[in-house]
Amino acid sequence: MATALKLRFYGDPCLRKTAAKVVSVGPAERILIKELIRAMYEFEGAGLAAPQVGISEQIFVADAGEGPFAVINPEFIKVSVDETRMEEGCLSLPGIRINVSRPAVVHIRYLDENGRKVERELTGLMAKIFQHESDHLFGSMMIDHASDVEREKFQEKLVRLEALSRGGIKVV
Amino acid sequence: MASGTIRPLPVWFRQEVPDARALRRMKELLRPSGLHTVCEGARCPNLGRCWGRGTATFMILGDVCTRSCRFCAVKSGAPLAVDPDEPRRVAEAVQALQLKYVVITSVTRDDLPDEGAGHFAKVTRAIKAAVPGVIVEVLTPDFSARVACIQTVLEAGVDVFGHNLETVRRMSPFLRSKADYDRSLQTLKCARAGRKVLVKSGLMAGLGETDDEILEALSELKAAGGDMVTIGQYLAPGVSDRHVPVARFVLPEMFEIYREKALAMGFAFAASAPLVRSSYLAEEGYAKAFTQKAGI
Repeated sequence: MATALKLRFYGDPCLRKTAAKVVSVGPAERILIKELIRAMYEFEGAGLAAPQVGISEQIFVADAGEGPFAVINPEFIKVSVDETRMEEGCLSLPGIRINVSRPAVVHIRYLDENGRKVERELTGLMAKIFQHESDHLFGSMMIDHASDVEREKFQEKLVRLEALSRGGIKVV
Repeated sequence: MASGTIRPLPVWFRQEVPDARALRRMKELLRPSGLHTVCEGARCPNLGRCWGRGTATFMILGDVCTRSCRFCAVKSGAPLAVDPDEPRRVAEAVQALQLKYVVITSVTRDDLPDEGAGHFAKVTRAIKAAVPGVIVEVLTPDFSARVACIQTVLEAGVDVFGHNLETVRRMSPFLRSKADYDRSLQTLKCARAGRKVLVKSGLMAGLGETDDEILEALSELKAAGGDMVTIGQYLAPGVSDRHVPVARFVLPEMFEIYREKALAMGFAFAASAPLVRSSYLAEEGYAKAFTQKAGI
């Protein structure tokens, strides 16, 4: 059975809000997380943040190649000065690829789906995904990092996505 | 403007080479303490000169902002966790630099329940406790114009409450997509409300606005209760990011006209020149505005 969650696209105001911190992690949150993971695989993304399906809460799920995991209320304690660049994609920006520079190493803290505090140091792809998805929770999108050239290249796609979002048409 | 093209700056932007020793001393002080400065974060062209004189504007609450204004070099995205030790470290740096006048600014923190107001208050109190007689100027986010947040900051005893309007009404929705022109004016009005504190704001010219629009913004700032204003030339942080290119280089003579008009409107202090930034000559501005308002 297909997921009931519907993707929001660039232009949708809920992608530009700061999401609310999750107050307590319980069964409702776990059900949401299960559904987010299902949707992530169905939409074929490496990550999916709650605001991307219209839920303004600080939750995201991701799979960096080692299985799905959930992150609640992420916090960045420290980030490396050294940055690395990678071409990124986003489910809310279909057909668009942007080169984004991000800190290579991040020291983060969050709650897992059982409400347990986790503190880790991330590098590589994991660090990228974590930062990309966390950005969604603060109203930031990869398009914000686009160069003039990239913006021009994807101008038409962006305009169409905005029109789609304004028209309220939800496309799964 | 074609991508990748960097227009040479007009001749009036040429600066002297900064004193390397003074810069190194500042870096040595700031690096180990992990303190951020807006001087670096926003790539201020005056960094060499100010650091050479031993002044710096601290940026608290991390160096990642929850807004994404198109004129600002500061990183935007998921912000850093608040460091409860930051107030102490800022106060120590103020002591070490023997500053008599400190400017504290921050990134916007929409993610925090009090939007960072409490932290601003803690930093102010720590500085005032560590250095008797120090003057503290804050340059804050809009705090969503929430009275409680603004009050929290004022009650810590700041001497100057600053919040930048940044650009004219027409350009605000595009350049400050997560902010609001009227809300920023409201933040200033709130700070003004019958208090002794000096209220300060800043504008940039060269983002696509007209001279009349700058004057209109100045007039609205004055009506909101502004005592001090700064106007400087917008310089694009970079060509390969979200930032907008420079629309025009306003002539120094025009900046001078803005200044004259601002003073004629009744501002107690107005700094207006291509390289003027919010905290440039902040101490002198305070002295002038303070004495003028006190009728000395």
